[in-house]
Amino acid sequence: MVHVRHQIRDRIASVVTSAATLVNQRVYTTRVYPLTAANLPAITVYTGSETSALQTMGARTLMRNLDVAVDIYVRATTNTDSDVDAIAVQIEEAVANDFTVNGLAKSVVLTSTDIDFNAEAEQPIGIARLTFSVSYITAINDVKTAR
Amino acid sequence: MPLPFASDLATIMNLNEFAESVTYDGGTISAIFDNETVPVDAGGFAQVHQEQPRLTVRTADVPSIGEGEVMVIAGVTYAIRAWIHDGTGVTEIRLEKA
Repeated sequence: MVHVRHQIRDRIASVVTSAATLVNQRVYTTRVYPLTAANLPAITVYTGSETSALQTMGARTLMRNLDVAVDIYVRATTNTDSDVDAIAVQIEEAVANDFTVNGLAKSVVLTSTDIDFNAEAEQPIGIARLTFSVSYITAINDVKTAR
Repeated sequence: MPLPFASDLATIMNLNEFAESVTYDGGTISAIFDNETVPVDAGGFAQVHQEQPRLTVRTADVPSIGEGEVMVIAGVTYAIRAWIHDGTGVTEIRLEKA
């Protein structure tokens, strides 16, 4: 077993891979190396910052709030923004339909969307970052099992 | 004594030196084509590596340059997206691969 955070990341990546047909299953988790034109369009999934606090004293459980960033990468000469939005539709609806992240979490909610463009190279690149806040609970001494 | 810039430029833009033929505006001009791969950062965690086509030409060869005009270089079609005249007779053009 791995950390629940890891399980959540893998589950969201799996849901996105199934739903985001517009990227032809090019979904990468925690990719640190550059993408190339041949990789695009693509999606990357990362787990970022997480806050936690003691929820119950007796059982000593932690309520945790994890940010999961889902980045959409599109390369196109026209309609770059429309392509980004079309992929966002697939991601947002799929994640919303898995509201408990397959029982690992209490909720997953889209909290922000940031969209940017870059035209420095041979074709414009559009990137959208969808940040989801995932609330989940673990025992303080067992972080591999979601409560 | 003025620098012989015009003759230097003619040498640089010579097809037997650094330049190559570019189809443009119904004719052919000679220009220096660069197409290095560069990291592009648009805010994601991962950068995107893409080629960055640039063309260096004599300003006199592109007197009425316009956005969206087409250039064909080594059989590849590009659209002109931006350009900078350096004021000395040389223009650098940013291209978009069609």
